[in-house]
Amino acid sequence: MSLAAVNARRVLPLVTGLLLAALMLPPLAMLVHGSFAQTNAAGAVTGWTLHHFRALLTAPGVGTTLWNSLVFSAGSTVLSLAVGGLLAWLVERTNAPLRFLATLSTIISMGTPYVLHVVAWLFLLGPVGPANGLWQAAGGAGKLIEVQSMGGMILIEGFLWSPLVFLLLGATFRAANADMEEAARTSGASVPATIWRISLPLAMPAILALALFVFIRAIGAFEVPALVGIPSRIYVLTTTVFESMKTMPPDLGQASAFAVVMVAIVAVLLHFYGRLSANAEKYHSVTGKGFRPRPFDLGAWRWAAGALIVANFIIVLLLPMIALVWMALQRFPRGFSMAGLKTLTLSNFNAVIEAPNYLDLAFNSLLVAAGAASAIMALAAFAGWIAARNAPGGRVLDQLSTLSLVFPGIVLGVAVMEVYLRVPLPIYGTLWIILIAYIIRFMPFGMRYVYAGVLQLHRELEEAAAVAGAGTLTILRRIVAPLLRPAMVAGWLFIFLIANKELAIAVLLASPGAQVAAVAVFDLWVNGQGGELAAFGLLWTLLMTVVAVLFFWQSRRGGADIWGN
Amino acid sequence: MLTVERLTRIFANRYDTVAGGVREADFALAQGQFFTLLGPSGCGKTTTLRCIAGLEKPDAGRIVLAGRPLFDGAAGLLVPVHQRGIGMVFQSYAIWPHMTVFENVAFPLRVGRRMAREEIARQVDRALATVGLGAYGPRPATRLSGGQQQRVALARAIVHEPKLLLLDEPLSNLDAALREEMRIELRRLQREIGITTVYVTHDQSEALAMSDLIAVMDRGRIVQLDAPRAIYFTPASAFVARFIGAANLLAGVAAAAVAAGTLGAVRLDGGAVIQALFPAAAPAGTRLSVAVRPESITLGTPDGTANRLDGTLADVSFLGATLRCDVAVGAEMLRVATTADVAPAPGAAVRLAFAPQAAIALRAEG
Amino acid sequence: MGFARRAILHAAMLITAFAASPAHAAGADAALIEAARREGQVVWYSTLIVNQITRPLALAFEKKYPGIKVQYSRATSTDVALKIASEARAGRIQADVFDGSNTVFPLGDAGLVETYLVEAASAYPPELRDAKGTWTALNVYFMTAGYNTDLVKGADIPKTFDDLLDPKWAGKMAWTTDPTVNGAPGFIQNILALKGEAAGMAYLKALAGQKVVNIPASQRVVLDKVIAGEFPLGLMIFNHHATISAEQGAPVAWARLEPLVSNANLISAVKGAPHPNAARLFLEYVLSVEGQKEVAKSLYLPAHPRVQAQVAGLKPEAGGFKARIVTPDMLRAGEKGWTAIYQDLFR
Repeated sequence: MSLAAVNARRVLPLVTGLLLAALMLPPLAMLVHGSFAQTNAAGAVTGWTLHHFRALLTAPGVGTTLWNSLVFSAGSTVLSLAVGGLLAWLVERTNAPLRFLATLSTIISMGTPYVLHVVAWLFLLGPVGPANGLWQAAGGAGKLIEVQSMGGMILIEGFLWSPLVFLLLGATFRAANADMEEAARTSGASVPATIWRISLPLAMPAILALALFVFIRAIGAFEVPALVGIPSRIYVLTTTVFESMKTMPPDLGQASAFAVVMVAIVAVLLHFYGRLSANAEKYHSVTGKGFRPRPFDLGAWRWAAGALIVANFIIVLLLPMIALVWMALQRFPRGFSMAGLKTLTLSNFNAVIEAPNYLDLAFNSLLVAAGAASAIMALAAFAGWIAARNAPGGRVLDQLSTLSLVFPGIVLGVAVMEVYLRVPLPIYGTLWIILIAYIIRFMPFGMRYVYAGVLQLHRELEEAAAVAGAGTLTILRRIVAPLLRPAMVAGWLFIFLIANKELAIAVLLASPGAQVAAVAVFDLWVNGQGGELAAFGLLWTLLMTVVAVLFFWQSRRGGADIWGN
Repeated sequence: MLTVERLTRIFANRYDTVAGGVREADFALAQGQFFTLLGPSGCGKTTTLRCIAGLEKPDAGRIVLAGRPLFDGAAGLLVPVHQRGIGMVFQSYAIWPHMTVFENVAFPLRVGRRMAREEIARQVDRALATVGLGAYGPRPATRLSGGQQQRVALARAIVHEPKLLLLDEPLSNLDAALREEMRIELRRLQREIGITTVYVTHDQSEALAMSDLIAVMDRGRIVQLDAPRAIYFTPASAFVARFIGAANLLAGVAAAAVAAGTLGAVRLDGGAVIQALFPAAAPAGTRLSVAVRPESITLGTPDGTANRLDGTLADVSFLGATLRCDVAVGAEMLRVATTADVAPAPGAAVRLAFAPQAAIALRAEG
Repeated sequence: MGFARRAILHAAMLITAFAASPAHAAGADAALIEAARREGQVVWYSTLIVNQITRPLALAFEKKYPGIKVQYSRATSTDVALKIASEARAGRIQADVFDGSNTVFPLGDAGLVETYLVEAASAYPPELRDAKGTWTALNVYFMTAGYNTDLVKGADIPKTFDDLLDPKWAGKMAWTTDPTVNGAPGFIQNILALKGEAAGMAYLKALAGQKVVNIPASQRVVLDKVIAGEFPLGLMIFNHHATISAEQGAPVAWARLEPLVSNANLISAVKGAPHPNAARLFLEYVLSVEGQKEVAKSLYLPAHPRVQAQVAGLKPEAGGFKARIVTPDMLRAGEKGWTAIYQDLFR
C-alpha cells in the first residue's frame, strides 16, 4: 500500500491551498499594509495611520456615493440576470427558434474590449447618436434617452455582464431535471406556472449564488461608472476612490483602504455564497443514470421567444457592431448621417494593419491570456473540486480563490508590482508579471466554472472509482477531469476572452519588451483615436471570435457541449 | 469473513438533536453469506455500508475483512477506500458516462495494478457474460436502459473478484417487473460466485427473499439480527414486526408475570384475553403489542386451543391467490389473509381464530 | 481653412530652412557616445503616444546611434511615477529616462531624479529647463477652447473668457477630468491669475453655474465629442489637436481665449539608472535641434525655441497669441489649491 496514495486526499488540499495562498495573500498583505501606511513622496512608509479609512468614511457625500454604488450594482445585477437568465433558459430548456443567435451574440460580445462596448453604447444612445437622432427627426423634443445617467450606467453594465450569466446559468438549466417540470405540467400547470412555481425555485440557489457573484463584481466595476457616470456627476465608490489615485503623487492609501473594506464585506458575502452554492447541489446532478434533459414545448410562444432572441442579438451585438464599423470607417467622429456616407474611408483599418507593433502585441496578448486561462483552470480544477466536495479546507480554498474578485484592477496591479519587485526572479519587467496578475484577477471566474461543474457530477461516480481501487489522483485524472472537461473548456475560454479585455493591469505592468494589445487599446483610447480604436477593436473581436468558434467547433466535435457544462 | 464490531458513526446535526448515523453495530458474516441491512430511510443502514466500503470514516469500532483489519478506531487504523479490495454497486449505478461499457467494467482492473491487456479483456468479457451483457462492451455507457446499466454496475463490482460485494439499494431505480427479475438474477449470481455480500434495502420482501441473514436497523441501531424466517415469525420488537410485514398489532397488558419463551395471557385493550408467546420475560401489567400475521388468522373455523376474537367484516379485497379481509374488532382493525374460496359479505359478523404460538407478545414501543 | 493652409505652408518653409543648417548633437561627445554604446540600451518610461511620437523618436535615436536600443513602455504619468518609485524601493530600477508634465516632482522629492544639465538644451528659456538639471521640457502644450464649426459660427465664437458665461452655453461645454494643469486646474489658475483672486473666484462660480460636463477621458476625447457635435464647446483642449483634426476635414477650430494655458512635458533621467550614459545621450538627442525636429514632425509642439512647430501658428511667437506658461514652480505652489477649487465647484 502506497503512502503517497493514502495522503493524496490530505496533501492535495494542502498543496492547492499553499499555491493559492502564495498567489493571493501577498498582494492582499500589500493592500492591508498600504491601507494603514503613511507614506512620503517616494512611497516609503513613514508611519501608521487610520487616516485612509477615516477619509474613506467621512468623504463628503459618502452616503450618496454608497447609495449610488448599491443602486448601480443591484440594478445591473438584476438586469444581467434577467437578460442572461431568460436567454439561457430559452436556449437550454425550450424549443425556441434561432437559439444559436443567443450563443453567437454571447461569444462575440465577450470578445469585444469593454472600452469599445461602452464607447459604442455611448455613441448609440448619446446626444448625437441614432436613438436620439431618430427621436428628434420624428419630431420629438429634447433627448429621448439621457444615457449619461444612472439608468444608462445600469443598462450598459447589465448588458456587459449578461453573457457571464448566460453561460453560467445555461449550465444550471441544462442540468435541471426535466422530470420535475414535466410532473408539474402533467399536474395541470401551464408553462408560465411551471416556470414560476417549479423551474425558478429549483434554480433559485444557483441564481442567487450567481447574483451575489455578479453583484460583488459590479461593486468593484470601474469602466462604466467612470465613462458613463462621471459626466453626469454620478459617483460610485470606485470612481470616488480612483480620483485619489490620479492625483500626483498618486495616493494609494485610500484606494487600498477601499479595497480592504471591500475584501472584508465580500468575505461575509462569500460566506453566504458558499452556503447558497452548497444548497444548489440538491437540485441538479448528472447521475450515473441515463440523463437527457427534454426541452419545453413553447407552442405558439415559440415565435415570441424567437423574437426576444433576435431583439437581444440586435441590441447586444448588431447595433454596437454597426456603431463600431461606422466609427472605424470615419476619419473623425460623427453621428450617423448621409453626409457621413461620403466620407467613408478604410484609412483606420490601413493604419492598424500597417502599424508595426500590433502583431507583436496581439501575439503577446494571446500568449499571456492562454497561459493565464490554462494555469487558472488547472489550479481551479483542484481547488473547485475540493471546495465543491466539502473536503477539509474546501471552504478556505473557495474563499482564497475568490478574494481577488473585488480588488480594483489598478490596486491589484500595484500590489502585484510591489510583491514581484521583491521576488528575486525575473518576473517583474517581463510578461510573467502580467500573467501572474491575470491569474490572480481571474481565478474567481475559473473557480466558479469548476465549482458549478463539480456540483453537477453525482458523488457516486467518484465513489465508484474509489471502491474500484482508484486513488484520489487517479479519480481526478480518470473520472473527474474527463467529466469536467466541458466546464473546464468553457471556463478556459471565458477567462481567455476577458483576460484579453483587461486594461488597467496590463498598462501598469507592461514594460519595454513585454507589452500586450491592451496597451495599444489604451493608447488609442487616451489619444482619442476613436476611428483607429474601433478598427483595431473590430479586428481584435474578429480574432477572438475565430478562437472561440474554433473551440466551440472542436468541442462539439468531441461530443461535449462547451458552453457551460 | 467480515466482522464488524461496535461500529459507530454519528452525524452531528445542526437543526435537531436526533442525529443520523449508526451506533455500535455488531455483526459477523461467514464466507458466501448474503447479508441484508434492512430498515426505513435514515436508520443508518447506508452509513454502515459506506463505513465498510471506506467512503465514510467511522467514529469508533472495528471492521475486519478476511482477517485483514480495515478499520480499528482504538488502534487508529484506517485502510483507504481504494485499497480495501471490495466491489460495490451504487444506488445511482454511477456508470461513468464518458466511457464505454467495456471501459467502465475494465476500470477496477486498470487502476492500482498491472495487468496485461489480454487478461483485462478476458476478465471483462467474463464479467459481462456473467451479467448477461456479453455483446455490449463497445457501447457508450449512456446508451443503456436502466436494467442494463444496473448489470454494468454489477459487472464492474465483481470483475476484479473482490472478497466482499456491497450493494446499496441497487434495485430501487428499476420498475416492478425488472426488479423481480433482477432480484432473482442477483441472488443466482451471488450464489454462483460465492461472494460474501452486504445488501442495503428498505424493501422487506427483497430482504426476506434474498438474504441468509438480516439485520433490521432502527435509528442507528441493529434491533434484530437473524435469519429471514426468524425475523418474520419471531420479531424481536414491535418495530420489527411492523416493519417486516403487515402484521396486526394488538395493544394490551400482561395479565400475569410470564417467563421468556413461554405462553402467557394478555388482556387486550378491548377486554378480550388471549394466549400469546412471550419471547422475553414480562412482569404483570407490562404494556404489550401482540403481533399476529394476517395469514395466521382464520375466519370462523374455531378449534380448541385457538384464541378467538369477534368482529365485523369491514372490507374484502380479492388479491387472486388470497382474499384480504379487514375486520373491525372493537376499536382495532385487523387484517386477515384467507383462501379465496371463502367469500363472506362485508357487514357480516365474523369470528377470528389464531394459534397462541402465532401471537407474539412484544413490549410496546414508546 | 485659409489660416491652416497658410500655416502649413509656412511651417514647410521653415523646416526646409532648418534642414539646411548643420545637424549636430551639441553635448554628445565621443566619450559619452562610447560609454552609452557599451551600455547598449536606454529604457524610457513614456507618457506619450507610442505610435505618434515615442516610437518615431526612438527610431530616430537608434538610427543616429546604432547599437543603442531604445526600450520604451507607455503609461499614464501616475503609473510612471508609481513604477519608478516602487522599483527604487525594491532596489531594482529599470528605467533610465521618463517624461510627464508632473511626474518629475514626486520622484524628485523622493530623490530619484538625476541632476544633469543637458547641453543641447542650453538655449531653452529658464521656464523650460530646470536650473539644477532635474528636468527639461521635451515638448510644450497650449490649452484653449475648441468649438464645432458647424454649430458655432461668427459672433457666437467665444472671444473672451466672459463669453463662456453666456447662458446659451449652459450644459453645452465639456472638459476632461484630468486633475493636472492640462485639465480644469490649469483653467482655474489661468482665470485667477488673469482676473485676480476675488474676481477670479466670482467668475469661476459663475462658470460652475454653466454646468460644464466632466469627461473622464483625455483632452483629445473631449475634442472628439465636440467634433461629433455632442458638445459645441470643449474647454482645455490642445490647440494642435484641433488643427490636426481640421486638416482632416473635421468641423473644428480652436478659439483664441487669451492668454492660452501653456505647460510642458518634462523629460528627466532616473538617479541610479542601469544605463546612465545612454540616458544622458538620449536626453542630449531628443532635446537637440535634430531631436526636436522629430518632435515637430510627429505634430507635437517642440520645446526648443529655435524649432518651429509643423504648423507654426500653434506656437505663440508664430501664431501671434498670448499664452501664460505654468512653470513647474507655479505648479508646485498652486496645484493643490486649484484642484480643491475644481473639487468644490465643478464636481
